[in-house]
Amino acid sequence: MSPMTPMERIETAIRLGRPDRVPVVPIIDFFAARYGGITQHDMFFDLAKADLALEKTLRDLGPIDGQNLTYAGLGRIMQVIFPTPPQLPGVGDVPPDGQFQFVERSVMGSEEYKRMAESNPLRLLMENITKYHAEFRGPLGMARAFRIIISDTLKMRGSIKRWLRKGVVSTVAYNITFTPMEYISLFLRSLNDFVLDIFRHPEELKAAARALMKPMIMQGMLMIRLSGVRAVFLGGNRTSATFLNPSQFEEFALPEWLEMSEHFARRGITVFLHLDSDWTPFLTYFKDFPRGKCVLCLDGTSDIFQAKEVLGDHMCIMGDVPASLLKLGEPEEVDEYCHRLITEIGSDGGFILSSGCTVPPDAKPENVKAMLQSVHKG
Amino acid sequence: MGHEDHAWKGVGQMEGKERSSDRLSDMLSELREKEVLEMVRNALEEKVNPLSLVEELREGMAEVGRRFERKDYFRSELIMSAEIFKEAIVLIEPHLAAGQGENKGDIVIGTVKGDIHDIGKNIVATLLRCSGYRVHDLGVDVPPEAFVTKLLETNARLLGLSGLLTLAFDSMKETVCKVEQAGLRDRVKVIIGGGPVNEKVVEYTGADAFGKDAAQAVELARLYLEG
Repeated sequence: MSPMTPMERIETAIRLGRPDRVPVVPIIDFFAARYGGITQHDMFFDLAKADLALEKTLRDLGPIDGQNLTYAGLGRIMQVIFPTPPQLPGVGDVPPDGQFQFVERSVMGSEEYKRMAESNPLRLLMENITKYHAEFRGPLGMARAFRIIISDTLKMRGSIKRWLRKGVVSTVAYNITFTPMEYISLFLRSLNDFVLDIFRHPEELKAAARALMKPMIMQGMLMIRLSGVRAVFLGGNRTSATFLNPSQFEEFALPEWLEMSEHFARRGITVFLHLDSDWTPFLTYFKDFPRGKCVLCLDGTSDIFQAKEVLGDHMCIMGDVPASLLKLGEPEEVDEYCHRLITEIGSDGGFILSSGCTVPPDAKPENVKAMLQSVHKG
Repeated sequence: MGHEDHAWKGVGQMEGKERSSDRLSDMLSELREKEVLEMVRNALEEKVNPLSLVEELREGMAEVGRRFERKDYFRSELIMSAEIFKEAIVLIEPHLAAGQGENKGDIVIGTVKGDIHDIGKNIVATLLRCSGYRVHDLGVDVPPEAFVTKLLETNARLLGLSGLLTLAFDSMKETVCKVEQAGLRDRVKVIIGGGPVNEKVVEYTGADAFGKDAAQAVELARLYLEG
């Protein structure tokens, strides 16, 4: 029997089947930039350079079946779509090879929840953006913002196609969106203030989140349309068990995680639940999510082996070679961990080997090589 | 429950189990924000010794820590309890005589160079303050030299370094190195923390220990400064 194509391999794993071998699909742009000799700034803002850096990385360290989220060329879009732009390398005071990070601060008070709840959802999203980006205000500003989004996504779409021809699948492209609570706590309120809001203003917070549901879904659908990749990346961290207790999760977060996942799954869009931090106490809730249509991506903090026990017959599991192991470990240790993942989680299918969140820029190349090659060992 | 029933009675002075929830420490550990603040205001009006109020509040925070260790509480409860504690202290502080209020030790803390993640660092700083330590929080993206300067200035014997990114491991290592070069390593213990930090990172950076969560960081402070 001829080997599966990378696409078939990944698709089979997502639908809970057993591919010819475990696919390996890391988030590798940050590392590939450093390894390929370009700055993090170039990776975010110069797609051609980023593609060359990735090519060198894969040539030297081994092939991959796909990339999970891609950041290459996404810099300008990130500056537009997020109300508080993350710290981007080479922008402002950040050195060109500095690291991308979100800025932890509140840009609105809790009293604004009421106004959010009463606003037209689309206008609300635009307001959130233009409030902190004067250059995108007014019809001309809006046109400028859309021109950036459309022109850069088309470039990235071209890159995705070229990589696919070389046998590298882009699983979610750059189709990022968030559940409303994740969005609020990441971009509008600091984590600390968000938690206090849960205790002090629960109803206002929930009403504002309800108003944000439609725009968050629209953001996902827009990116899916532009990229041509029928999958979406739902980023999760702040509604994890690292921060919330189970009853808070049930009340504030679970309904919207479920609603968004069902919305996309119904339309044949695969949902990558990118869950950073610890979700172990919440794993059983994911049994209610659409079967065989979601991928549970863990970052090395949650117990992935428990995830297999609880959800192995329900959704594909993806992960979770920890960043600290890739930086400080030895190739034998990486190989041993990957082997454990492949045999204990992947032996009956429904598993994709990946980095826990992203491969860090300062990972040891020999460790990345060990991870990429582990799937080819018998 | 009526306002009058809430008059502050001090540790161990409540009669019967059914009334135990009227204790200030219990109110705090159960996150009853309004009741805590009301009781503190009333107690201050009644000229209750403000230090005993602080002690009660610390007892409440210690109980929150125990519940967190037992996994009955999550980080959201830590954040909320620390907020209530801070609000109560704001009320109490003007009633404390100058210099009154114990300082169990100075601690310098910050997120290391190149990293701007501060959620964990902020929780640790707040809990350390709640536990009676004087915390000098240098913020985020802190260069090694700034830690050393602050250690010299305060004579602190504990340094807490935080970071979420792997690049933070190198900054932590560099900071420990600078502390050594400044001749401070013999008297300064270094604890580290943050998502990916583990025993291997302790070894790599040359720190003394790591806390896997904020409660453990407080335990380490107790061990090093009071043990």
